Amino acid sequence: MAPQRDDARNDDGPLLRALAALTAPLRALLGGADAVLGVVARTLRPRGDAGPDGVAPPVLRAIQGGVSLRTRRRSDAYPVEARPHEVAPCDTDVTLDIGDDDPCDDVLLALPRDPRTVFVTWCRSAGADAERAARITESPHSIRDALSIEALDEDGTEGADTAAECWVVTLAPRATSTYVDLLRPRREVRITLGTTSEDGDFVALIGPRTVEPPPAGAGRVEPPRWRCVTGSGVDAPPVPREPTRTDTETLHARAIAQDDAGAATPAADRFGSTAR
Amino acid sequence: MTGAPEPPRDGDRGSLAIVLHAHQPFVRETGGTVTAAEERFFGIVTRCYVPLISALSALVADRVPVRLALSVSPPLLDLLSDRVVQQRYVRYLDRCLTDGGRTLGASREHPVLVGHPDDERDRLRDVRRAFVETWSCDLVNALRALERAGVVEALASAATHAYLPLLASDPRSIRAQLRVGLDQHRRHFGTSALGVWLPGAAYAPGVDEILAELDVRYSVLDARGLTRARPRPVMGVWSPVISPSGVAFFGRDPEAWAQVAGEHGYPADPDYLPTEMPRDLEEPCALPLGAPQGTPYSARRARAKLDAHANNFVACRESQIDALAAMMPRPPIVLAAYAAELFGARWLEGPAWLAATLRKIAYDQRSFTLTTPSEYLARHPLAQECRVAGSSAGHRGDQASRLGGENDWVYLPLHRAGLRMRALVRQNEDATGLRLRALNQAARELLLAQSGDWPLRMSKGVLVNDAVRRTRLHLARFARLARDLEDGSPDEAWLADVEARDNAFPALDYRSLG
Repeated sequence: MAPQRDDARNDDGPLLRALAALTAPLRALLGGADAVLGVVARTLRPRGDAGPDGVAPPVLRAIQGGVSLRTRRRSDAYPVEARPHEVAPCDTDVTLDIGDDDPCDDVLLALPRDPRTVFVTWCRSAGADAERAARITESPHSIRDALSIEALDEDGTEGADTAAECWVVTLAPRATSTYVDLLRPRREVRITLGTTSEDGDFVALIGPRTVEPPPAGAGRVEPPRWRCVTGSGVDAPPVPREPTRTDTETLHARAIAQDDAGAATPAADRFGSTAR
Repeated sequence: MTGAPEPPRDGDRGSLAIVLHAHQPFVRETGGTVTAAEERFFGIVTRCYVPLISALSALVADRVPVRLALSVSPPLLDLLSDRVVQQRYVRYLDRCLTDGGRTLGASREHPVLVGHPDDERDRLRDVRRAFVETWSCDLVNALRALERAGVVEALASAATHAYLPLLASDPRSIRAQLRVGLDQHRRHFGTSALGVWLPGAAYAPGVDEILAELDVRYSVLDARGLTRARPRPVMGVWSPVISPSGVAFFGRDPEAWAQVAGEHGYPADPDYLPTEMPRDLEEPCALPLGAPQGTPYSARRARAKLDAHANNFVACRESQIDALAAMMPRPPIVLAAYAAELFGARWLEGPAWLAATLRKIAYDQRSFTLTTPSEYLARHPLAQECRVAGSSAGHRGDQASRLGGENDWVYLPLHRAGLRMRALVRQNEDATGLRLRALNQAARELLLAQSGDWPLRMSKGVLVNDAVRRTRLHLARFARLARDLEDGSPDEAWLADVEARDNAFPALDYRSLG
């Protein structure tokens, strides 16, 4: 099934659509979009900007929009940015051996950053690296040198009647971490590190790891279930009368309004209006 | 110290619970010089912890009926009860006194606005007298006395303030952080904590099961943990919810928080004394701007403003609770949760404001009662069952301030170290002698490296070199211990040196990290 695109989010206006069209010949010339993406991502994205809310800059999205038209076998979806690993400024104790080179098993770590961004980092055992290098030497066309990340959302968008979505992010050479843009808030995503074969198949190497990003909006209203706090020593106190639907909505609206904007209310205004 | 009498309970229209969370990273030093991180810690003890404990003790002495919940993180408890730290702090105070009290409440940006040097010196002398003479240099003892007096309900916290959502890929690390934190609480307070303050008020799905397993009754979340819960709580954030595993979660009231600690909260009033801002905090904070250039600071004007702000806070809570009570079928609870460091470190008049507010709540209003989360649960044990949402006190309630290009390199080495520690525990189930010491120290180094303060400081640009140094230092010490344990026998002389430096959690059992 074709993935559901968030057209409203990706509509960057006629100028950027024109830019996407202009870069098409260059992509064709270079035989793929990944090289263009890598160059453009490094050029356009300021250092350290993981995207304050995970949104790629509009220009980059315009080019990615072109890339998404390519067909992939397992995931006919959109590659998302591949950002080179950035290291924190560290001018003290850089010589300390923190065990980076100590032997380890394959590790894949996927951490939710916000509702639509997941940080993925990994390290591979020496044996696994040697095996992959041998496979490339034996059969250079069987797998690509570059690693990829496959993201799988089995539920689709929450609240929408969409099927599972799956997409692959091709990484920059020698990358050891990246931020995966989930394109929209998701309830649960499975992340797998792998590589793609010459004919487009995704070959899993480590994972999957399941990530639950923090939700972006309020939960659904359902009839409440009541229970006692553990250790309260009370068996079954009377179930409280529920607030009316109007009161519930008012209470919730009040909580959300304060949640989003409470901190922005000048103290002087409140002070002036309610001081005794 | 005498026990506080019961607060008035007229009508029980609703309750206010004030929750303070105190935390400082483990910045113990043994060298001849005071580091920047240590100096910052001493400044906070001077401006915040000593005045706050003094203010609460004065309320107890005056028999004012007061209740509040206070979480003190394990590293802070260890620092405050450490003899070496206590001695270094007294030396620091003496140096400040000979400097003319410049360190206390001074602002390099607004030197003209600093209070009169004599006032600063008097304030420092008061702090030194309280610390040395009243509490014999042991603030933890003073906190225990407040707890026994029934004024403070003490909450536990994670061992080293690890930011739990970023450890969620390894639930056993979360369990170890919480278990060690609860053990430390028992060691310092002699009682088991009913509640736990999650570092950064940050929750990840699954943490409730670990809390239930560790016999924790409740925790406090950012409002978004409840407003985004599934299903949506019918009573908003003004009644706790209960997770499927049986742990109650309270939501921080955004209005009460913003009024005091928000960007435009009370401390931003120009009548208050400007202070140096600790910027390594999760949220934007009120910034005491100081009076316009050339206007001298007036202690009398600040005191009057403080009184007006205390009145305003109480009036706002009264009207808020009245409005909520009219809509809710049970008495609402407004949970006002703040970083303890706001009171004093960021807002010099903060401890006095808190004391004035508590007095007014006790004597000048009858609309609501002052309570603690566990007292509220005892009176209202029934709660709506919800799956609370992954959330934090960060800007948008997510992990953006903890995970970015400045600090993301930290998480893979931490994760690998956690896996390695577990392998060591499996291989050494009954270690004794030198191996036991090395395993305990490896566990200690791993917990210290997991502290959430270091990545936060890296992302906020505060004491970055120190944050990077400490992360790498603890990881390097862990790696060396792990290698020594895997290869044979640890170097005893080096181990003894490291044990003396990183001496947090003296009763730690490495099996807690298994």
